[in-house]
Amino acid sequence: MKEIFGVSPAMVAAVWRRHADVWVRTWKTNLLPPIFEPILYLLGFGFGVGAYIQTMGGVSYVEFIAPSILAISMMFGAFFEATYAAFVRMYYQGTWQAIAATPASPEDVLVGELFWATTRSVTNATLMTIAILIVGFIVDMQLLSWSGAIMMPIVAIPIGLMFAGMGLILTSYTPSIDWFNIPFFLFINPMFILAGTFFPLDEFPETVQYIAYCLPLTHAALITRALAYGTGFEQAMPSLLYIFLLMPVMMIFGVRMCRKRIVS
Amino acid sequence: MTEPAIRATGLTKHFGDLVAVNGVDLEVPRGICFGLLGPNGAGKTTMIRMMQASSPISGGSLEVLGTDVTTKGRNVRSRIGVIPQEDNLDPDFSAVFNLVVYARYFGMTKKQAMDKATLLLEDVGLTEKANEKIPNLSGGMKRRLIVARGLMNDPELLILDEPTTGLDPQARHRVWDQIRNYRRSGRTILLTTHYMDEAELLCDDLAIIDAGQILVRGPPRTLIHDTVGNEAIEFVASLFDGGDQALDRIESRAVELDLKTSRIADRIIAYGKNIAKLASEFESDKEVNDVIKRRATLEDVFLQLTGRQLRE
Repeated sequence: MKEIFGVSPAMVAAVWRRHADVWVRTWKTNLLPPIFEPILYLLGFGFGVGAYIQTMGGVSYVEFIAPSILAISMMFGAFFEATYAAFVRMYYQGTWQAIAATPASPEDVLVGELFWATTRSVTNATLMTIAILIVGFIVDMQLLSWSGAIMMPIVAIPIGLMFAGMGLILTSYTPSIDWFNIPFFLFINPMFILAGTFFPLDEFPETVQYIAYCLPLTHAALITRALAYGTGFEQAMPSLLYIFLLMPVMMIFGVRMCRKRIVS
Repeated sequence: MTEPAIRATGLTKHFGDLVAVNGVDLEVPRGICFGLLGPNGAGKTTMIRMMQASSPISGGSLEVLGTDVTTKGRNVRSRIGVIPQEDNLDPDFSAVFNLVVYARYFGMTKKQAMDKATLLLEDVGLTEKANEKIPNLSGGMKRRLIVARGLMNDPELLILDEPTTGLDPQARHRVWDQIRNYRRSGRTILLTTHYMDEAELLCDDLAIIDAGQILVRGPPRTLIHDTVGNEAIEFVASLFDGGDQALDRIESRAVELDLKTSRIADRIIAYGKNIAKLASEFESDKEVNDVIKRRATLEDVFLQLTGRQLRE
């Protein structure tokens, strides 16, 4: 069997297909959140709160939060899949163990998890981009540049892989499914608010800005923002570098650390 | 095809300080049904997890179907069928789709998988449930489906971990039928079980293990004959009042008569040449509620060898 660093692409594909098959079987419920969430945010925050805000970071508020919710959905897509959903497969369903009893190896199973979690980031980004374009069309505003709309699902891949790796690291440790509340409350939710998503970072005191620039979502949002506006790619380059450096580290640690939950 | 199905030499497994399997030497020839018996925590599951190349060995060497499990785990796993203790079917899929998805890991095409799945569902009597979701199946049906899943790749060796635990008598007989059918096709079976009747019924050869080591090995009838003889007598007493002391008296008398005994809860089971004498002495003891003469079984061997203390 062909292997790359001990991982079989054919087996990873089979694992990915298994997850995709489950997703397709429940597609109606799976499509709802990525389509209706952005509409809700754009209506409530963009147009509702935005009515009281002249401009935010040089653009209207609805234009400001459109790329933010895209970055957030990429994060949630992969992170949720690699934590809660992966834990259900591992702990409650024994799916990982069942697959690891076949020619597929534990590493194949985990790399399949990473790719599947990233797929969720990509599908979220795609569906949200479409929803945002439709809302923009209805209110006669261009909320996303055309080049940005095309690029969103593509940048969702490295962003998704990075968050998926982080998710697996947490899954390797978690003693129970409720424990995931801790990283969600201490890490994901603060990031959701503070990563330059709902207001620009330059409003913060300088020290807080430094902290914010360490957060992965900050960089994901800087990238989606540059793409959405169609300008300022130079400023987004360090963010891209940040993501591409952190991504392989998180993936390798995620797979290495989760291995012990399949074999002992 | 001349190599044995399993060849373990000094097989060892540590979990931190705990030694779960301690230097086991075991050779299982092809074409037989081999049983691994032992109390909870004896190391049965650990042993077979190493044999199915899903748990790395800590020491010694282990070859399955003539193939080293450490260096060629994928190859081993492609040629064996694994029936785990727990239900790890995919709850989101139908019965038949569970089999089809599983077949992908063995590189089978959709057509091959469907043909094989149809055949196996027929064999295990689940044809009518083919399109039923897993949560709608009974415990016995799930178990049969897991057995069918383990047979999807036509394994040369089938490994079953407690295949009938938690099943009702009818369901147990159906699973036994499946195992015997497979055995008849000339392939090898390795199973663990707590049920001595199951082992006596299915296994050509077996090993009783405790604390990670093999205590005895042999065909069931031979083991019974050599360890406890052919007959056994049970003395049943109440656990309170004088009952306990009566059991003590029987036990010490059995020692004098050079008999082997096993004491569990409210009874003493005695084995050996002079059991008839022991029986006649205590038959009319008013503290003894019942004296049962019966054929010795594998359970007697098990109790003799693994002691009477409560496990876990």
